[in-house]
Amino acid sequence: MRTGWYISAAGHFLLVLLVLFGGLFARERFAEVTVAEVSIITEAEYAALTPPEAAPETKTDAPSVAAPVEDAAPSAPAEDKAPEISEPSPVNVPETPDGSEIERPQPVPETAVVDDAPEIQLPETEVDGTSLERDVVAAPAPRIAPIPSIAPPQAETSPERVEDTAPDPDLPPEDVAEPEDASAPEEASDRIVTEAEEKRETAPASSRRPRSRPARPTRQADDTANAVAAAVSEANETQNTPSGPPLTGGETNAFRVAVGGCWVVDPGARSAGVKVTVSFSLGRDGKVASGDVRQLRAEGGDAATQRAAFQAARRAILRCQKGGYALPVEKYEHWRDIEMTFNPEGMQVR
Amino acid sequence: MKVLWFLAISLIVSTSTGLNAQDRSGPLRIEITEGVIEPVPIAVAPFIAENAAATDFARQITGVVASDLAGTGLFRDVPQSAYISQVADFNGEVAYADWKAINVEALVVGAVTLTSDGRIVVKFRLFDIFTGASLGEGLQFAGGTESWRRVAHKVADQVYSRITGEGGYFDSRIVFVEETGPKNARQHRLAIMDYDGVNVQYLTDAASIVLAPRFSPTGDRVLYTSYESGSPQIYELSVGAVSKRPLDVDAAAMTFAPRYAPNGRTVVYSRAEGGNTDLYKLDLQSGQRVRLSTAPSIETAPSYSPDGNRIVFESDRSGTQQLYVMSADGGEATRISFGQGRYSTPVWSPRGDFIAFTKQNAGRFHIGVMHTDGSQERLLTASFLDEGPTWAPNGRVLMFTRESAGADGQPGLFSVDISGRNLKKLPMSAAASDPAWSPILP
Repeated sequence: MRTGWYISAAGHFLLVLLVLFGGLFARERFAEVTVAEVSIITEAEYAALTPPEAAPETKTDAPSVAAPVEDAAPSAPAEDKAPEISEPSPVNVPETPDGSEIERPQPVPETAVVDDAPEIQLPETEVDGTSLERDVVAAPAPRIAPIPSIAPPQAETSPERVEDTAPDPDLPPEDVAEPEDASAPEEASDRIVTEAEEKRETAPASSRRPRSRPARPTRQADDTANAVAAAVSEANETQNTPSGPPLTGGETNAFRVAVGGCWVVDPGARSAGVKVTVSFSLGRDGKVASGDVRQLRAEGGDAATQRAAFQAARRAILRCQKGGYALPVEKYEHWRDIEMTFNPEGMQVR
Repeated sequence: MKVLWFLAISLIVSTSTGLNAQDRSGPLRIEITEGVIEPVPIAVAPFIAENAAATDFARQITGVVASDLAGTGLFRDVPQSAYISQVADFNGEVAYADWKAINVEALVVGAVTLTSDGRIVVKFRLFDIFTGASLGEGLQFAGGTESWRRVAHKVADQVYSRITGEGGYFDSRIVFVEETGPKNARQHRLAIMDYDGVNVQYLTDAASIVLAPRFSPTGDRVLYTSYESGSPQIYELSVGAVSKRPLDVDAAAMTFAPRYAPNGRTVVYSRAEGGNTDLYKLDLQSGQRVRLSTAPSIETAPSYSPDGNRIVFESDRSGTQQLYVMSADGGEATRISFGQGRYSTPVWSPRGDFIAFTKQNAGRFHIGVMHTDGSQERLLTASFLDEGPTWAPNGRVLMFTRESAGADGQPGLFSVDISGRNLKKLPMSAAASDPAWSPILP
């Protein structure tokens, strides 16, 4: 029994001595580590650098030594693994109203418009073309000039020589220039570039290949939105609310973009200064219930421009619904009733 | 980091979910700030001829109405080849679904009758396809057969007004200077035409140079400058009677650049004498003349504000041509143009919100607009020579003179929307300059 104590005491005593005098924790034991830069090479590269040498010649009188251990090649460095990147989760693309679903013709309501509009009585003036009297100005041009007027076109145009030649059937047909429209076709855009702002003819004749098609607006739900969506789902799972989670930022933005794509703004009109708020209800199919869009309020403009602004807003909502706005049905309670404000302030010509 | 980010969001969302739950009884509120700028697709269905004699008129009126609306750049006329259903009866039912299927937003339906006494009667209705209802009540216009284009313009004005909430400008006229002959011997005469370049009629002969015609607020008179007496003098011409008279201004001095006040009874103009040009106004009834400016510089191109209280004009009192605004009774003027280049020919918008002008800068001419205090200057055009803007009656469109470069260059009339879109040349057979837009005809 005591033997163990003795052994333990002796051991501890020796340990104390070793600590005190053996320099177990002496600073010099921790020699400064020399750092050398090394490069990691593969096994094949190493083999190429160090070709096998011929075995050293041994003398017979040399003390026998154990055969050298086979020079093991250094183990190849661990392969540099790329950090794991989670694959991007596919973003649900909300259905966009693309017109594929065209409403079947509905029974045509009877138009009960009575054409009893009064005939406009216009005051008779000297230039009144709609009065019953013959329009003085619209009459054949009175030659009021004491000197006969000059025929306008002939004076400036050189006489055209018309050659009465039959077309040669062997010659290829001439390219007939299409009559050029005086005005360039208008295209939908979200900004206006006036002629003064257009670049002059010094523009480069060629350009880089355009970038690939940008992501659809509804894909703007980024990681943050996804994280929010996931967090919302998780939070609601725990809360178990009956009406479901609210719309995510991405879903709301997709809805906003869908309506905005049909909202035609005339930047030069006075109605572009009117901010109008409308309300409407959507069915579960994402369509406006009964097509009923009501004006709640309007700011700016007079009655006529406010009416025009409201009509533009209503047309945008109804036109873009097509088969129904792509909204998550499970969140219907959150988007059943909607107040939508159309604010063209940023698009107005100032 | 992602984990931390996720946890932070989870915390925020979990706390805000409770708040959201409180709002669930309210509607979803969304603000839309960006729309699209594109023409509204409309359908002008062929007007129905209610008797055989009206067939040609119905076809022509349909064409003019469609051309008027599409010409604004605000509407796109859906071609008839795309129609699913046709309009055969003015009082018939509208197949809204058929029009909706081809994305028509507004439908114009009309009918034309030629009465036994030679009058033409045109009635129309406008339908909002997506709401399935008519936009306003049906209207009808009547007039002589020679006025069928005016009737068509009236219909187009109504359609434009009901959709945009603004007045139209189709039933209006342009007075301008037609130019013929080579550049070094050009002949000028006053002419008048519909706003779209049709029905050109001449008001003066080509015996003397005429310049800068201006309509009266009622559209029945025109002021212009003529060299008939050898030096520039202002004349007033009655459009209906095509008779002219010199204004009772100082015949010994050069007078030019006249323009009516909104009341139609006062004329403001420039008078040059002894190397100095100043602004004057003339009361047409009393003949009283009042000097409005006294600066030793050139003041010209005056234009009244719609309320008649202020005048914008150009002056070189600062060393270069700039724009100034002063009271209609004269007095101190405030400079409103401060950009680079020279500004000239200012014209106050009928809406009162903008001043249009000509600008010359860096070898190019521009038509531009700015607020009445000179802010928010925007240049709408750029070319070798653009000048002399005039406003459409509704203040939405500007017409101006554009002259091409070179010895064979000719002036022509162009129009542009106030937004800078829809720049186009009026189809005219001869060279033209100095346009002035009339008010909407009665």
